[in-house]
Amino acid sequence: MWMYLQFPTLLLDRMQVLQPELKERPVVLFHEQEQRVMQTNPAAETVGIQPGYPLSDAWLLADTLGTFRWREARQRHLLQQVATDLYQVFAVISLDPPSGLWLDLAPMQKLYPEPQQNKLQLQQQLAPWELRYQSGVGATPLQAKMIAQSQVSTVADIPIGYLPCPLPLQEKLQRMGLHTLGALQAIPRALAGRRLGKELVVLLARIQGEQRESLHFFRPPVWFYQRLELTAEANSWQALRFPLNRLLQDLEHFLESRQQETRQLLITLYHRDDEPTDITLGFAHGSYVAQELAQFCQLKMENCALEAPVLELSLQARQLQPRHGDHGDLLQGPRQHKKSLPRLLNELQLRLGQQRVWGVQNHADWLPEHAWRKVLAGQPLGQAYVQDRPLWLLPEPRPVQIQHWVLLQGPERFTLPWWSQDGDQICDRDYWKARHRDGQPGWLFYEHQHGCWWQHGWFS
Amino acid sequence: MSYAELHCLSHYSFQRGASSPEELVNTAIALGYQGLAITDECSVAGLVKAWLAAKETPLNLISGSEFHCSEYGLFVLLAKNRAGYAQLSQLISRCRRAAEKGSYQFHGHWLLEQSLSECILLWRPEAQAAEGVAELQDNLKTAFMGRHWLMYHRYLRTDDRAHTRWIKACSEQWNWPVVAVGGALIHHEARLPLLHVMHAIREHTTVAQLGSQRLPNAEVRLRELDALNQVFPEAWRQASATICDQCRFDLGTLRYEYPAEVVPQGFTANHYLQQLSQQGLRWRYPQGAPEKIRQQLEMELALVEELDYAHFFLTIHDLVVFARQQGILHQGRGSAANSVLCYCLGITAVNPAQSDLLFERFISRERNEPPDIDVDFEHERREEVIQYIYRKYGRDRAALAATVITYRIRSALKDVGKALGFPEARIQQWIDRLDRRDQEEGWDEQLRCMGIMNHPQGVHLLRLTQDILRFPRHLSQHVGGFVIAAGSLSDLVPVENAAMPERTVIQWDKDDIEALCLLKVDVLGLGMLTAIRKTLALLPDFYHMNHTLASIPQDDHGVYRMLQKADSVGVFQIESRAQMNMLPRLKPRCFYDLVIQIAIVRPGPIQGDMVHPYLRRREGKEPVDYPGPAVQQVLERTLGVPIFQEQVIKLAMVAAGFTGGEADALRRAMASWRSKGKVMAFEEKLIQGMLGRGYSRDFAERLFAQICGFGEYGFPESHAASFANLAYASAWLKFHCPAAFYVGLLNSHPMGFYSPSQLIQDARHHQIEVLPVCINSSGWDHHLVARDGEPAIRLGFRLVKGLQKQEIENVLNLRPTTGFQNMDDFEKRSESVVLSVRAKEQLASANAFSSLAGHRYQTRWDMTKLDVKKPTDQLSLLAVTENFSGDYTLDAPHEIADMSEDFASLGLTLGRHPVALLDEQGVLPHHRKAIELGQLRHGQLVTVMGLVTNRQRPGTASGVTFMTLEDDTGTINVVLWQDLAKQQRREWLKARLLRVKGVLEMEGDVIHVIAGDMKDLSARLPVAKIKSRDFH
Amino acid sequence: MQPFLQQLMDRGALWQGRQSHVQELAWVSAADPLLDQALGGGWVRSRIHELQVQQRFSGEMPLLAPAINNAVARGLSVFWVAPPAIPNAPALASTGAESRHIVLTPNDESDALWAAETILYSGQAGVLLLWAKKLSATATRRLHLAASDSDAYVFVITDWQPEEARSYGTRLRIHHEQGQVQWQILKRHGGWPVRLPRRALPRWPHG
Repeated sequence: MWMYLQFPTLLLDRMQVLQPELKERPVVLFHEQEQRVMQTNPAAETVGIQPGYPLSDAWLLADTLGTFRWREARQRHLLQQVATDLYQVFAVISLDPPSGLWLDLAPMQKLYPEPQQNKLQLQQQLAPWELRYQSGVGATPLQAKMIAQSQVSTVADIPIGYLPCPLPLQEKLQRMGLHTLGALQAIPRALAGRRLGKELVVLLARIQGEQRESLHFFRPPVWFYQRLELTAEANSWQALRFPLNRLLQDLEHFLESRQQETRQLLITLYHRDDEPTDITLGFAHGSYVAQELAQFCQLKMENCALEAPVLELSLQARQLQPRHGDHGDLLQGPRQHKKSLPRLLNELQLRLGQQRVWGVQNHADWLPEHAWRKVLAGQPLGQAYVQDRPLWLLPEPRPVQIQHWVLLQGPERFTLPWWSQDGDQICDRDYWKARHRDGQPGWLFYEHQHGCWWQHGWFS
Repeated sequence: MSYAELHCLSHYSFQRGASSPEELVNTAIALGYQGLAITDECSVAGLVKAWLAAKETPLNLISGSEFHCSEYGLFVLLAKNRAGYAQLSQLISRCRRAAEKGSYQFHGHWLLEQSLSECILLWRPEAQAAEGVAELQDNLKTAFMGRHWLMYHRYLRTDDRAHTRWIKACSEQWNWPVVAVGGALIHHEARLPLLHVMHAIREHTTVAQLGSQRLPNAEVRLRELDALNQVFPEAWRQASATICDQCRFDLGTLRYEYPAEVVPQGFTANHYLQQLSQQGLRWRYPQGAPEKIRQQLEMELALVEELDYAHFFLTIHDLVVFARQQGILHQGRGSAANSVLCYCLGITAVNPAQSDLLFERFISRERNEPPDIDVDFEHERREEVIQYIYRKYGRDRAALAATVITYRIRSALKDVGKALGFPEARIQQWIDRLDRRDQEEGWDEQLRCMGIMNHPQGVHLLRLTQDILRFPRHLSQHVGGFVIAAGSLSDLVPVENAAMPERTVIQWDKDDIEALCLLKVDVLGLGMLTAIRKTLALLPDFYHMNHTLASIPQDDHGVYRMLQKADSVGVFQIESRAQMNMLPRLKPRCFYDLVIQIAIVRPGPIQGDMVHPYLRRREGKEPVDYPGPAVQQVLERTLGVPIFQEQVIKLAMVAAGFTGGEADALRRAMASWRSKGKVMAFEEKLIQGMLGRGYSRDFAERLFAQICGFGEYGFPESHAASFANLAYASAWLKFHCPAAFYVGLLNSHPMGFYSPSQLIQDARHHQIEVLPVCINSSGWDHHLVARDGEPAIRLGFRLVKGLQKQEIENVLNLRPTTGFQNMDDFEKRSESVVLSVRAKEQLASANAFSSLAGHRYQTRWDMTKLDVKKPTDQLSLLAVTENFSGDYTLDAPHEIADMSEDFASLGLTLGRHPVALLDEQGVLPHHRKAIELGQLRHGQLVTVMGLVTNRQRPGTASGVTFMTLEDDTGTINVVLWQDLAKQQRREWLKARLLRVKGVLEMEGDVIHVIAGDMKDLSARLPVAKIKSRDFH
Repeated sequence: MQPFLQQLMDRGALWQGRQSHVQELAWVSAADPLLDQALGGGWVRSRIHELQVQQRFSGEMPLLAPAINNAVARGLSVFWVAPPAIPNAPALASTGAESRHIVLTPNDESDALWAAETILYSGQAGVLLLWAKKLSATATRRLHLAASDSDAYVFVITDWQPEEARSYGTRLRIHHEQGQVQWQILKRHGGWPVRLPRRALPRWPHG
């Protein structure tokens, strides 16, 4: 005995829970390429918009329509979360992405003899999610699914349209007056096979249950979480170092067995009466070596105050990713302080601050400010797109007295990007190479609009 | 300090230039340039427009073109004189014809392979010296002795110094003089953003992502003289003036020579034309032409001889004679219908005696433009006429005129939006929400209230879309406009390949050709002519009469009575809903009434508020008065209300003292699309003229107001007269031989206002029997069959959806005269010919086999066989024994299922009307039938029901929209006020079966239901496939 | 170790025998033949070189170009600690597209020194450039230890300094008037202080 749950508007329902104001006006999720409505909220349905409508008609029916892109990946993720939640009640679950799942009721027979109890249990479990769903019960998974989708009472009444078979076959059946599954099943199987092909016969067998359905079963995802009770109340960072290192060893072992690395750690300190304090650490590059992680934690903890004595400590690593790239420079001799570039950059950023360590990279544009970009430290410089440029660039152009300078070579005229200004005025800059009266070669520009001279760089 | 810009591109170098030829010319004049060369890339498409702008100005407009050679760099050729222009045009033609449409081939050596003795060569060699360049420059120097320069561009860019050194080195090493040129792509720096956008469009990326490819500054504009002074050395700048002086060529001098073939040996053109017109006179007026006509002909012939247009008439006459020999129905259209000469030559069919003609409208001394004749041919045989032209004059002397495909609002928004980095889905939504009807005007207002401005780039998107609107995107071919030359056409204008194979097109469009007074012949297609010919062909067998289009008897009162009852479905030009509403009020009684009927139901007259006064006067509810005898003479035939453009011109001449030419200039101002400004210029002159002649100021002002409102849409009487001819002919055929008329229409589909299903409905309302598609008696086309004395229509296989003509004709050839006996007989005979399973299934669903076997479900089941080709489908593996010999019997479809199958396979049903079927099952609430509405009272509350057969999409503008419901007894016209359409949009937009409660409005025979409340009953309709003809 | 001895060590007044283990001296050109000759071949690796300038941007950077190219050739990064302005990427292109230039803008002296040391000890630095007003003896001392433990060319660019002992490998003072520049070598490896002839302001090499 199988139950199929169909969530026609899973993603939109979830969005409405997170942003309740969406409920007040008609909202639809649309498919970007086909420009068709995929999911509608109750307000949109009252105005007459149905899934499958072209978006332009939807606009016509509701001027204040809210439109969001349909994101299949996000809905699949949500389906996994719902299944994880249901996993606490129903042992055997099989996903049917993007908007359905099967529950095997057989093993639940002992626990909830009548189907009514199953439904009640289901309702309680799903209540907090506030999702709209249709359910159907059938002897085989396929029957359950078709009943859930078509909402008919008996299997025989299932319209041909819900059969999982190619469209031309469906149309051929309907043009012969065979509109329901019952009518199709009435035809002797051999005759149907000879006329309509083996594929239909196999499908009918699956529906009757003569062939076993190959479903793969759902298992919740995996991440590292461990909690440790301290032998004694700790009220200083030093006291916490030892238990934390123990947890980090376990984490390294956990990651080692899965060949994974983590980019994020969540340390939670539990106090007697106050709220637990959470410390999150993020790394630019994934790492898995306990000793390395310990150093990062120490660097971080030094500048966090410890308000109250700590009774318990927990460590959680969720964002796991497969290990990649070179790790550590094992070949460079016995030097004990040596560390990889990524690790060095992590350390520098943690200590000096995220914004104070950056790389320099060439960018394809004429304007000096846009001809280069701040990038993640460690990125290569890239080839230059412009020539004849000064070695030093002032962070902000500086007004100068033109009398102190002698113009040598130019002008090179550049127009400022008009699309990032609102006026429709065209602003130009004329760049000149010039020598300061003290002798240093600099880079000046004359701005036509304000009629004044600026310095932008030095050549020396 | 004199300077001439010798290298400048207009927006006719598609997506490279961002200013129009007019803008470039005007700016060059404003900057005080001595001359300007428009040098589009391998094209002279923008030249005529530049010439028009520069005509009465001191600027020396130079004709030129630019050619890119990947190996040797950039070449520009300037025409010194008419011969130079011809040489340039030859080269461009060669480059264009060597590549497919939209591109060209060119190599430096081509400059040596053709005489360019009257052209000046400007060359910017590639920076990296390709081998062979030294030798090339030497040959070019000898070929262009004294007419060769190196081009020096300076754009204030990083590479300026290196480029200057390179040009100096070449100049000294090869001993070539140097000239400074601007290489302008825009006329003013404000146009730089649009240039960047066009570059981004070309590279399919956004402006920001163009990065260092993007032009760094606006130095590609036409620069001020003192700016040039700072940028260019004196000598190089001066060279531009000397070159400019050597080029003196006015495009206007392209005098036109007509093809000589049309004049037989021993005749001069005029003499031959004289003879033809006399023959025509005897043919058109067998009992002798009235004196007025004879005088008119003499006057026309004299004017034609004076303006030397004889060849023109002879060329058209030659075409018409060819069409008559091939039996291709044809009819001249446009201002030619004002001419007796055209009527005698058989070009037009409007009898001058019947309508009041104005020859100045066709040819006038002041205008000095060749006449513009459009000739309509049967749309299915138009290609034969086109091939005749190519055969007679050769591909080198005849080519199609170009049409410039320009940016419309949807394409502009899409391209500019993408270039500015807007997400495509967002742009598509804005475009979808633009109201379809008034999309061209007010689009920026609509976008503003869609919240475009709160997007950071919103203001740029609006401004740049506005700029790019009507910019050319690419050249396409005119639908039927032919240019024919005496000598080789490419001496006159470059000829390039068209999209369609072995078709050629010139680089100038219709307006250019008119501006230069070249001869153009419009060969157009008209669906109604095809339908009329097919109907006439059926007359001898089924109606014992034999007619040609010209021999149809005029003024048949039965025909006019039919039209007065608005029974005009299928009749040319007067079958639309609006026309049907007007017919019972106007009650046309003669040919001229038809001419008025066609002209009056148009936006112009409605806007100018001329419809109601005319109707009131016609029904005698208002006295017919004229402010003066002269006005009476002009407006008498339309009861004092001006309706036709010709009347406005005559009024200006008669009442305000305009000459013929001035009056025609007024008409052209009225018809000009651009703005009302031009018409205003005539206001003072017109009103003073009329006051001077004693007319009241009030009448003068009212007339002028009518002229303004009237301008764009005022319908010329000559047009209306030509259309009225066909309208009367089709009405006559519908009245006297309806069955043949419907078959003629159905076999020429798609055309006209109605779907096959509606035409069949109308035929059955006229008691014509319609027989279903049958495998034994149908052909591909519909045809007539005599059923006890009365002709009945046998539907053809062309109605069956998804059926290919070739497939079914193979089977028909095998069909024995006695027809297939049964299904097995059919199967056996059709074995030898390839008839796909799909085709057989379509036929079964269309119930074509009903005469051979049982109901359509059973035949469909019997016929479905597995494609023997796909083994995987075979049932080999299942071990079910083969004990079922007899086949499976399916139960027959009930009537509603039958109807839905009809619609699914044929698009129409001959069974009972869906509404009748549903009524019978008592599924529908109480409602009135279309037939009963006639007996009810005006203003009575009524409920009606029916299938929605056509609807007008609601515009945002206020006002009224229409919808037609069809039940088993006829059609019901429903009128919707704007607010109702907005509230009940769902019912209105999506309903197929609709119940409407509303107020009945009756005015004579015209009956409407003003909708109060609508309810969508489509759910009760099992049929998915009934389509409504929606007019957006 | 007694505190007194520690003080001596900090002031760099104590020379330890076993500390200067044998290491062949790798060096790179200083982009000027006279200067190379004066410095005994050019800049020595794993040593700190001090350049004193009256005002910034008076031709000090071109001298370091060969060192930077060498670092990039060895696949190591170039670290700019507290530079006076932004090193402009298009001009740096002469050091090659794969070169890695990392800029640090610490908000105080101690952070800058900590960073310099950590970088040198990490072994990731090919060239380390440090701008500072002045450096204390202990600071230069710790830097010297870190430098000798690395493979990097280390340069410190400061203002003109009073005559005090610092554990720098080389100390160079740049005099600059009217587009002419003169190098005065205050301290060099195995040689007396010397003042080189005046010459034109050197330029950063073109890409």
